[in-house]
Amino acid sequence: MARFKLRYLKFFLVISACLALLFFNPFNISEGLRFLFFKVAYPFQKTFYFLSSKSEEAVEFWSSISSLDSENERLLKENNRLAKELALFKDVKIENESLRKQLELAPRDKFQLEAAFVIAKEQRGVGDWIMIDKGSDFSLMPGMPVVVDDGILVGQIKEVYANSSRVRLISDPDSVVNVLDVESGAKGIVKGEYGLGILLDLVEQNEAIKSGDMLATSGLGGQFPEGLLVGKITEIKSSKDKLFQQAIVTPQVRWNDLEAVFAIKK
Amino acid sequence: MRKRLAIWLIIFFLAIFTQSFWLSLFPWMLESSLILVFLLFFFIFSQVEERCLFKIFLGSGILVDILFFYPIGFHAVSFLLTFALLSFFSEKIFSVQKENPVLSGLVLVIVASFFEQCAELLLGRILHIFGKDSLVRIGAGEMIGNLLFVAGAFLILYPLFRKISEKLSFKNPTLTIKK
Repeated sequence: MARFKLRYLKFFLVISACLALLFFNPFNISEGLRFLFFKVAYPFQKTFYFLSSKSEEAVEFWSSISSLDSENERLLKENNRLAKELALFKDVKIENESLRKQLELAPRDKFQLEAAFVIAKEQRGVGDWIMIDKGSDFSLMPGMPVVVDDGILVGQIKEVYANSSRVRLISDPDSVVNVLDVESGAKGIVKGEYGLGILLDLVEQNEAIKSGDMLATSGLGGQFPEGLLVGKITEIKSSKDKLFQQAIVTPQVRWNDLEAVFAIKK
Repeated sequence: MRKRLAIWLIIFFLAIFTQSFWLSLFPWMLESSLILVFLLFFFIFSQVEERCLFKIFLGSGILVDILFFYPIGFHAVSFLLTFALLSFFSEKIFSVQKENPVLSGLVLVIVASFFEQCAELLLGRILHIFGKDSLVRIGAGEMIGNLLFVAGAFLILYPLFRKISEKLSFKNPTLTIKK
């Protein structure tokens, strides 16, 4: 009987200790443990992530093998169409550069970037995040914005370890980015929604925003540099009884296809 | 000692495999699923004494918390509650398990996973009440999907995990669970 009681007492003591850790986390114990753990886990994380991308590619390849003939024909047609479009886009590029200057958006080559590969990602548990294979060894620091190569915002570094970092995606519920509508100049914030993508909020009622407008970082608050593309408005959630307009935003980045990213160091 | 090290290495690699491989392919899956399946195999088929199993469940929970950025203690508590449930019914489990190991194992894995998911949800809600972020975002669909995954994983991994669990069992004369 005494042994039985002791057994339960031990169980409750351990559960209580875990709950205390969970609610109070004294001395921020988790950070030290994580730093050690990720140092050891890094090569394995990298290998497993590489294998997962290769598996995904292999599955896609084998599932598309039956439609290769028709796919080839379609690609030839598309190639011709794209060649025509390319000629057109050369003009658009010049126009775009001039517009970027007028709107004071950031030229995409002004940042000091650090290239990194994604080694893990999560879009369901504790927020939306990815892990990249660079950390404090490469002078990365929490708060640095992370983009894909053409200046599209992915998120912000939240925690840095020796050779890896955790990046909070802009679709994370805790993420808030100051943005402006590139077409109308309306200002607002973009925030993550629980499993629902991202939402444009705090846009004044008198501002004219419309579906299809592109959003870029406004540089307000100093968290992100000005001019990084965030996404495109897909649906306006306007209501006259609300103080501000809201809109659903489709991010410019496809989270599932993320492989290489760049951290903006300066 | 070697066997204990091997168990921890398997759990460590399962956790990294889940994070960097499995979740990239199946983002809807719960982080703890695959590790829990292994722990349940180990609970059923190894001859390890209860207090060692307790430590393994606790350590695995902490490992999941570290790797998936949960506050430390979150999965430790849910795993320990699952362990308590299994221990409570251990005699019944082992008597049924002798007659039909696959079917009884399958039912056990589904029930234990369901219980663990509920414990996670409940803990998430409690933390949310106390002003912490809502940690678990699973709906009924994801829960069912996850249970189906766990059942599939159990059946596919049955020969391998059973062999591993039996090979890694360290027999001890002071067993508290009699099989």
